Parts: sequence; structure tokens; C-alpha cells
Amino acid sequence: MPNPYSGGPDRSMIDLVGGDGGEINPAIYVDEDIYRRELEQVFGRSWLFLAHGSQIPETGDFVSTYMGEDPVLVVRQKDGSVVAFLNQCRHRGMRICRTDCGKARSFTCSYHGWAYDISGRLVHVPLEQEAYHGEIDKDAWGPVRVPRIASFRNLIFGCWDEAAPDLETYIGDAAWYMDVMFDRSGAGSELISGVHKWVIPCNWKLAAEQFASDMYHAPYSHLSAVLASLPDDASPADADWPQEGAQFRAPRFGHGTGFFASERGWEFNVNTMGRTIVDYLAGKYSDAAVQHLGELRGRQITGQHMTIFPNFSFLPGINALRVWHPRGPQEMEVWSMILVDSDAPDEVKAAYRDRITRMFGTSGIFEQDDGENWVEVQRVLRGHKTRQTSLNASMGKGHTEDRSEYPGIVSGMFSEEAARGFYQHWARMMAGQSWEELAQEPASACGKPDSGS
Amino acid sequence: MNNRIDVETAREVEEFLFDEAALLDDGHFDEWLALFAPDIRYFVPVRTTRSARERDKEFSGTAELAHFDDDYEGLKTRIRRLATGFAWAEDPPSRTRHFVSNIRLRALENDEFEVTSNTLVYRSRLERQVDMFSGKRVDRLRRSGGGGKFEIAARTVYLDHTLILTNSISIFF
Amino acid sequence: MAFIASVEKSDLPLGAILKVETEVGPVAVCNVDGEFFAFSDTCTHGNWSLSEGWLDGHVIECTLHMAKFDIRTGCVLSPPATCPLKTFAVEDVDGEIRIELPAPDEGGEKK
Repeated sequence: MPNPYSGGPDRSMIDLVGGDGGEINPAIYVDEDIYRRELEQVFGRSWLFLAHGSQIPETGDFVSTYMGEDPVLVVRQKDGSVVAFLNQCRHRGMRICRTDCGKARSFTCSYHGWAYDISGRLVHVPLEQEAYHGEIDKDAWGPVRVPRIASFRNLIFGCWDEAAPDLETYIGDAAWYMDVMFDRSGAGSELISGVHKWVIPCNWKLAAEQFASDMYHAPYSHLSAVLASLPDDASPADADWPQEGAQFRAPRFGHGTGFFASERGWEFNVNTMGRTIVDYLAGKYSDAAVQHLGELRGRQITGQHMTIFPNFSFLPGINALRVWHPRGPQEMEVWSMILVDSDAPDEVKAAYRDRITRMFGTSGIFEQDDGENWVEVQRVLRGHKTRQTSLNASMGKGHTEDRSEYPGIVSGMFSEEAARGFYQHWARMMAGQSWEELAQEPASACGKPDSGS
Repeated sequence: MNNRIDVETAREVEEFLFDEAALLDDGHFDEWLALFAPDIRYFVPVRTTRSARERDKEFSGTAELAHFDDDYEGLKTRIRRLATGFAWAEDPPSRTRHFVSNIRLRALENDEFEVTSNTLVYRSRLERQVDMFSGKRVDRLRRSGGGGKFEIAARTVYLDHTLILTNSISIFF
Repeated sequence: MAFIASVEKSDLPLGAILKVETEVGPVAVCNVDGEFFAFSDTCTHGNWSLSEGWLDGHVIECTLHMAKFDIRTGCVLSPPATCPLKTFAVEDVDGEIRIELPAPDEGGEKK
């Protein structure tokens, strides 16, 4: 494979993913220059998940998080709105707030004492008269505000780019699939308090792409967790998974999801998730969801994995959600949370906390094996030859299906259509395409070769 | 209650904890599980970086997210997983060394003891992965049978980490 | 002659602080274990509202730069503040907390 990362940024970025996202140059997982460009072109322009509204219910409640590698504070205001601003003092660049979360009445930089109100307005500069002679314009020197904040189903997103489409347009057809998790009951959702945070020495795209597109790994990577959860008298046949399902590739902007869709519902997961959750999702509690979302989304879609480009992923039903924060090309931080419907019975909320903690998160018996794979992929890429060896993402190419029950581009459950959508959108952003260009559906999404613009 | 612990009891508790650590380090997980009472709660809360003013909120509560909150069945499932032949995060297995120190005892009612100890777990994996976990363990030990035998009725591990600096916690504390 | 500002006792549960706008500038009034105290709401260091602050016993701490004052005497307990805080006498009259304020020309902090 020639080294395409040498022919000028625009063309070479598209070539790095084989034009249509089907052949991947591993440089995208290791190259420092690509990474710096990614922070600018991908994380500097996309809508990024910041927080769930339930994490900051009251005035002054805040979480410290990141947009790419940029630290931001996300703060609930007196009028109920949410403001986010860079966690960086404009005087000498010190981190303004050094805690993970809490309730603030103001934020004061510990370096020289510049102080900000909860909306990020600079309200006090020590020795303002004596040292600055009253000449500093405090309104002009607050921390940089995230200019665009928007919510979808109580998920708060932020975006640096004034030219980006609004959040609703950005999510597009993916909303229909997100609602399996975020609008199941119509009563809204909340997080179980707390965030798992851990470090995986791998590129963030390995995880984001897997959650967008990869049902293929589940039966093998996660077999141990399924087997271990079987009752003592079970036969291996009880570890059987549904064979029917579909995968969705967003026509634009890189999102993807895949799932089983079967009349068996969640019953096949009763050993791992437990009776209480399975009854909630498909049994005695599920009529309201069916009424709200219909039979397909209310009961039949199961085992769903999903990524909203670039780095916000979740597992509807299992209700784990996570952000893959990039930390250089070779490392990411995983921030993982568990969501429940606000109107779920207390015993269901408790079951989610207990069971899903065991399955996913830092010690999760499913989660552990994902990390093992990504870490080794990354380690192998220390080599000279391995970095020149292209990787295959061609599964199901040219085999999209006409499925009128699903919005967007749909293919079989075992496919890499959504991975190609993810990588192709990534490459087009990296090539510096404008939002007008990005809004054009690439020709290759319909099975034709893509010219790259 | 007389809270003085006699030397013999202190010695028995210490020996019990050292033997337990050896079972983990030597990979005898079924025998390790047998040390736990049927009503065990194995709890490792999540820690967050908080201001000194909010330090009492550092650790997640029992209704919040935890790294572990397992009953006996939960621990058993984790251990069964290791024996499936498909537990990739522990096959090849991690090489661990559990260091237990600073043991303090307090007698409780019904022949139970609260045992507080420091734990340092060194993990080596595959070619060059090295992780360290540091924390405070608070155990409730219960006399079982006779002759210096105990079972672990409750264990809480307060880790010193907020961000966990490794790709998974596939081992036990 | 002294001015009087007042608040309803029922608006001041244990541990609460209220900010009251008065002729001599904003005044904070609080309830510590059933006893009521009033003091200038503006931190003498950073021009910030002390009713936004943390009240711990008889100590109020400004959230902006963590200056601390004794609300009984106005004494500075912790820098960066160096000037004491004005305090005002209060009286509980039939469920009404009355704050006795100096006339603006008697050294009040007229804003």
C-alpha cells in the first residue's frame, strides 16, 4: 500500500480510508500529525456530547469534561439553561476548576485569583485598580464560551463551529434509533449517579467505530461473559443469539447503529441481564414502550450498539453510555455511565445499577475483552511494516438492503457499512470539506465508488 | 464491649489475609471464592476528585455507580468466566502480587471483626503492561467452623484512583 | 436615627442566608441554630455577595477568594480580606426579624 499521507491534505485524507472507508491505512490510528488535525477538523467542528441533564439539575451544578482534549466546564444557570466554557483562565492559562463535579457559586483560578461567576463572566481581578489601573475590560477576558449548546432528549451537546448544522439536522435519521434508548417511555431519562473513568492505550476511533458498526465481534469477543452467565443446568445451545437484525448507516455525518430485531425480544439475554430488566424491556412492563415507540422499537430491537459521530456511544436496552475522549493518537479515556428511564420502577433502576455494572464499565465482564482487543491492535502498530499494512473494512460492501421499516441506509446486521460511513465522514472532515459538502451523501454509500468530494 | 484483641486472634486474622492474597496470586479462584460468606457484599465504590469542602462526597454511595458491587452470585459469575476458555482479558492471565499491610482490627458483635488494611496490587500482563492499584480495604470477618478459620462477610475497597489508569479491572482486590 | 430592615422569620430556616437590599447597601441576614445575625453582604475584599457564601457556624466564607469573617463581630478570620465586615443588631419581634441599620450619613455603605 503506498503512503497516501503525502499527496496534500485533501486527497490523501480520503485515500487513507480507501476512498469509501473500506480499506484503512493504520496511520489514522498512530500518526501525530493526523491526530493534531483531527482535534482541529473533527473535534473542533462536530457536535460533541457534554453531559446528561440529570447530572446538573440545580443552579451552579457543574461537571468538568472535555471536548477532544480541551477541558470545559458545563454549568447549570439560574434560568435553567446550560453554559459551557473552556476550563482555562485567560490570564496565564491555568485550569480554573480542578475538580470533577460539584456545586459552584463561582469559580476562582488558584493562580492569581481571577474569579468568574457560574456563567463564566470574569467578575473579579485582584488589585484591579492598583495593578491594572482600572483599565482591564473584564467582559472581554472571560474564558472562551462554547458558542453552541443544544439538547436532544436531555443529552447536552456542544459545538465550536458556527457553520455546523443544528443538532437536530446533525443527528438526522439517527434520532429514530436513539429513541429506543432515550425516549423509551416518553417520561425522559436520568443517569445513575457516578461516572466510570478509565484509560485504554488505544486510538479512540477503534472504540467509536466498533460501537457504530460491529455486531460481528460480539459472539466471539464476548462469549466468555455469555457462557459464565448461563445457569448450571444450561446447555451451550442456550447461548444462542438471534440471527435476524439490521445495521443503519447515517446517510451523512458518520453515525451508525446495529441490532437484533426479533420476536424473541430480550429473552435471550435473561441470564446476563436478569429477569427484572428483561421483564422491563420485553415483558410485563413493556406495553407502554410499545405504545410509545411501536412493536419494533418498543420490544423487538435488542442488543443494539450505536455511535453518534465522533465519540459518543451507547447500548440501548443495556443502557450503558460512554464518551471516548482522545488522549493522543495512542490513548483514550473512557467515561462510562448508566441511564434509566425516569419513570422506571425503583427495582428496575436498582437492577440496572447492579447488573449493568457487572457487565459494562471498568470491571464489566463484557467490557474487559473489548479493551484487550483494542490495546493489542494499538501495540502491534508500533511496527514499521504493520503501519504500512492496510486493514479490511469491506464486509457487506454493495449489499445494502431495501427495508422500508427503517430510516437511512440499511444493511444486514453483520456488516461494516456503518464503519465505512464513520471513516468516510471522518476523512471528509479531515480533508476540510465544508458543511455544505459534508451534507451531500457520498456516492459510495449507494455502492458506487466515491470521488472523494 | 471489650475491644481489646488478643495477640492470638490478631495473628490468625493476619494469616488469613496473607493466605487469601496467595490464593489470588496463585490463581486459585474457586478456593478464594470459598472464603466468602453466602451473604457477601463485595463493593468497590467510584471515587471522584472533589474540593476539600466536598470531600465527604468523594466515594460513590451504595445506590450509585461502583467499580464492583457483587453478591456471591456475581463473584461466582466472574470466576466462572475465567474458566470458559474465552476470557480474553485474563487469558493469558494477569500476573498479580497482592501486598496487604497496616492491618487494624476491631471486634464487633457475634464473633465478627472489622479488619482494615492497606492493599497494593501489582499487575503485569502480556509483554509489558504494568498496573498498580492502591487502596484501603475494610473487611468484616466472621468466625466460621473452628481453629482460626474465618469467612469474609463484607468487603469494601476504597481505591486511591479516580481515573483508573488501565484498560480494565479484570482482577480482584 | 436608625433605619430598620426586616424579613419574615419563616423565610429563614436553620442555616439559611438571605440577601436584603437596604438604604445602606445589601445586607445578609442568617439563622445559626435559631439565633439571627446580620452583616454587610459585600465582601470587603472582592466586592462579592457573601449571601452566596458558605456559612459554617458563625463563620461566613466568601466563595470568590475564601476570605472568612466572624458574623458576630465582623472580624476577619482569613485573608485575603483585611478590613472587618460591618455587622448589625437584630431583633426578633413576633416572627419578624428586624435589622437595625445606621442612617446612610452615619457611615453606611450607600450604593
